[in-house]
Amino acid sequence: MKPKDIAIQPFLDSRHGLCPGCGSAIAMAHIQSIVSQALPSGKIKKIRSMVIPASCWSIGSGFDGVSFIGTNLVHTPFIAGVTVGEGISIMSKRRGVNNDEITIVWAGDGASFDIGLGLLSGAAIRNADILYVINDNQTYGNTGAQESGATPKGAKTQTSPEGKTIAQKDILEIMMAHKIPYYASIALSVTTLDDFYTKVRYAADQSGFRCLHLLSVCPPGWKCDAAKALDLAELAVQTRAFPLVEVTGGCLRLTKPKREKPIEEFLKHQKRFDGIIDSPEALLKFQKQIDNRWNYLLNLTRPA
Amino acid sequence: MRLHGLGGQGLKSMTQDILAPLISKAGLEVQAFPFFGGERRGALVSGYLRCGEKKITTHSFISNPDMVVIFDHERISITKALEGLKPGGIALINTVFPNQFLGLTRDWQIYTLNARAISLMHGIGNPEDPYMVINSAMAGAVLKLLEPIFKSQLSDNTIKAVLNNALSQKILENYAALLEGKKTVVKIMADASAMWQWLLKRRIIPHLTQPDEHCTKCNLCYLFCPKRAIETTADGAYIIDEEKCNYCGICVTLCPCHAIVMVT
Amino acid sequence: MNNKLACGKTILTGNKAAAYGFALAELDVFGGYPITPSTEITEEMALLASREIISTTYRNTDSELASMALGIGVATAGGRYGTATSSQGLALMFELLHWATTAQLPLVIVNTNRSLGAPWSIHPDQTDSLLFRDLFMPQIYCTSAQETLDMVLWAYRLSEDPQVNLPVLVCLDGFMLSHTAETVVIPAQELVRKFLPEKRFRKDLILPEFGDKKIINLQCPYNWEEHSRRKRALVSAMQSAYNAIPEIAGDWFNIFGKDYDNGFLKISGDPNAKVVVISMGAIIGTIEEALAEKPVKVIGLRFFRPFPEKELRNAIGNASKIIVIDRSILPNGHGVIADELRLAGGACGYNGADIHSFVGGFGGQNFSEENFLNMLSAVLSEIGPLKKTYWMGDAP
Repeated sequence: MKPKDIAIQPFLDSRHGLCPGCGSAIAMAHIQSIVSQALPSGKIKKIRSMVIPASCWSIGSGFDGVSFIGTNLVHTPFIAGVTVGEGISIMSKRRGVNNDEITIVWAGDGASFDIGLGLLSGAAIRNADILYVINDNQTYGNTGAQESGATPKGAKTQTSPEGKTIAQKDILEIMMAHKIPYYASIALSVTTLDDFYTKVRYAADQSGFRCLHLLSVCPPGWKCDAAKALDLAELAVQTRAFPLVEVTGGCLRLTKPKREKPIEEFLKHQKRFDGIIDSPEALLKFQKQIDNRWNYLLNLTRPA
Repeated sequence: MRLHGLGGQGLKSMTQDILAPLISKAGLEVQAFPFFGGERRGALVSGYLRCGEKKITTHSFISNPDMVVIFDHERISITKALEGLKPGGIALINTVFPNQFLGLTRDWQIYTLNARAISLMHGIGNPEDPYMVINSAMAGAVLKLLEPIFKSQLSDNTIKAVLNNALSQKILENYAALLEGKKTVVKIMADASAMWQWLLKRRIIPHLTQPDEHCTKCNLCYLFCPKRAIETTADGAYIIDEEKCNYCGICVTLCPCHAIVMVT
Repeated sequence: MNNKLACGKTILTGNKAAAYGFALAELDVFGGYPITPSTEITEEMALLASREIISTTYRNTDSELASMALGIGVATAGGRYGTATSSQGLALMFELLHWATTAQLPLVIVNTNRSLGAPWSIHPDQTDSLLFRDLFMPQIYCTSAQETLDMVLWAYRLSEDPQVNLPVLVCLDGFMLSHTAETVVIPAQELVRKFLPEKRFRKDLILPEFGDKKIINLQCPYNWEEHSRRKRALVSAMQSAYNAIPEIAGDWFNIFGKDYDNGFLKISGDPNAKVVVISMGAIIGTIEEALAEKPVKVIGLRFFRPFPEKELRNAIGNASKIIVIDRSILPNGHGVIADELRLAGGACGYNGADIHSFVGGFGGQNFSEENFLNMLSAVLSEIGPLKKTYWMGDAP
């Protein structure tokens, strides 16, 4: 698809309060636009509501009753986002309009990997009819970038000042264990535009529990330049720090990056990784972990 | 004392981790707390600090401060920031051109310093960063202004020790910036012979150079602006709305033709 | 909706009666999670739904947190929701239940009262539901299986009242009521539909109708003025609940012929007695039987929230001794009802009357008629104001 041909529907507006360079804000604009336009099957769905558990978007999406993102908003306590979304979607079904409207839960990695993991598991195994977006900035962003289950091992955060010593949770495996109809990891950059659009359109078109794992570059949390936010999304994919995966009906498909780069190219722009960058030994280990994971995913792939 | 700044400029940590401990060491009772809506760079941040001889037990905002500190007068409304400042009270303003505030000297004592330049000079902060940290220079200026009420003077070692606890890096550089802030903070005199100089708007904004020259209308800047600040006109030209932009710089980095530059 | 529910006189446990209450309320969604002694409610709903006797969407949730989150979602989308739980499960729901009250979402929770640990017990006392007495949430305490069924329907009527819009908690003592089979008359669905109108959720509290172009931002950050306004609105909602209850009781009488008086209290015994006994829950029946021949008036609190000060004043009248029996305890050493009475003080008009506070029944301690007879004689032989709280766990 040609970037020239893409017009973004006017949902998200500039009043939103997300940080300069927020990758999540860029993705939000695109995703709202994609799900509201004609989908592969021809269906056109209306966004019934965005459901937002405690996160950056709780503060940034509007206040005093006004929505800055052009759709209905239902804010929820931290743990509850996914199941509140499920409740709303059950009512869509009871009203016979579940093919005409879509409920989107936009949850952070903290809500998804940690505090809300139990409820996420329940909603997923019940095949709740929602589009669940994991807005993954690899930290508890709203409170100033503390360590979360999604933080990569070795990254520095406010609560792991010398670098996280615990491994990163594998949300792909967790979601696969729930046999949901669709899971895809997505990242938004110039070279991943096609992949992003295809996956989001497909996910919006289906019914049941669809999970999109979105990598959101977070300049304050990752201690990188805001202007580099898009480049970093691309580098995350090229260095395989964030593999682009798609799981449909239990079959996993891996997208091989057109240009592969060593992990250093991703890490060196982020001060949160200076503990890794400064140590050749740690860097080697990190590269090995990336390679191991990639090989593991290769072994999991099978045709649809 | 009430302080006004933007997220990233270091107001919160200055108030709680630098000023409060030093004021305490200078023999006074002290209380300090921040207020912000969103915890993010660029968002409005206020600081509240009370100090004096008596123990402080109240926990409320300060509507009539003796002193107001303004980190950023271009993106924060001066009128709002100075609201309630007692007649004859002190306003400390970070600015490049002090004389624009001559009018304020009628009601208050106005002190200024160029905290941005001082910070950069000592290797602190990134000039490209629109919310650059300037708190050590500002801290120096505040300490100078509080000296008349301190019960004991602060030694170099005391200040360095507090900075050591408050900051994770560049202790010596920040200390140097603090000293410079102390030295250079100056009171504007209403009867100064300097003429009025009006400020050139010193904002950093992305600016699209002549569309005919460089822009190929690839649409990328429009697609990837996080603030939805870029639109096309009827005849296909791209415009960046300065009011919506928050200077992240993605469009500048992204543009394949280098058609967008940051201008000051 | 086509319901094939049986109606008429039958034998039901308190739990099953609660389930039939939910069934007759024609819920959109019921979220169930097992916990003793409420599990049977959930199982009965699962059965009725799976056999399509009711058209409620039934979901097994993954925790009580999920039960409450589901309720928030369903109610936000204008759906009628119910769930049942007890003690630990109710406590787990606290954050979300508080959210539902201050978001003013109508829904009903049935709680089978059970001792809240530590340490473990599955047996009844009222420490669980009374933990929630600070919430803007009406609380009803049932004294029989029939009352349980009836009160579930009252709860929906109250919860969805246009001036109220609050979650409502219906309590029945675990085992003593939940597992006790009694005679219950299941009302006909058509009659229930007269009592319980079509859902009329307040538009500004929930998502707009499908097709409505309006955009709403629910429960976003608000300035302090809005917070203040909402707190006042909640106080006003509880006041409206108080005003609605006698109306509901009146309607119930007109439709079903059963007299619940003004709804707030269950009063029996000697109307001119100078001694009144106040309590709530299943032991009311035991107290009534024990003291039937005595010059005592028994007052059962049906509604604990809103606390019926005026009705209690009328019921207490010019009694000279007030006995309060609590199955709860506070850090100040008082039972909850006794404490509320003291707080209400002059409003309940008992200046001059002694309050004798009895606490007990923790962890399922059984109360026999003999306990109450001993209690009564102990009180009658005393002169002067209350000296202490009497622990029935100690007394013979």
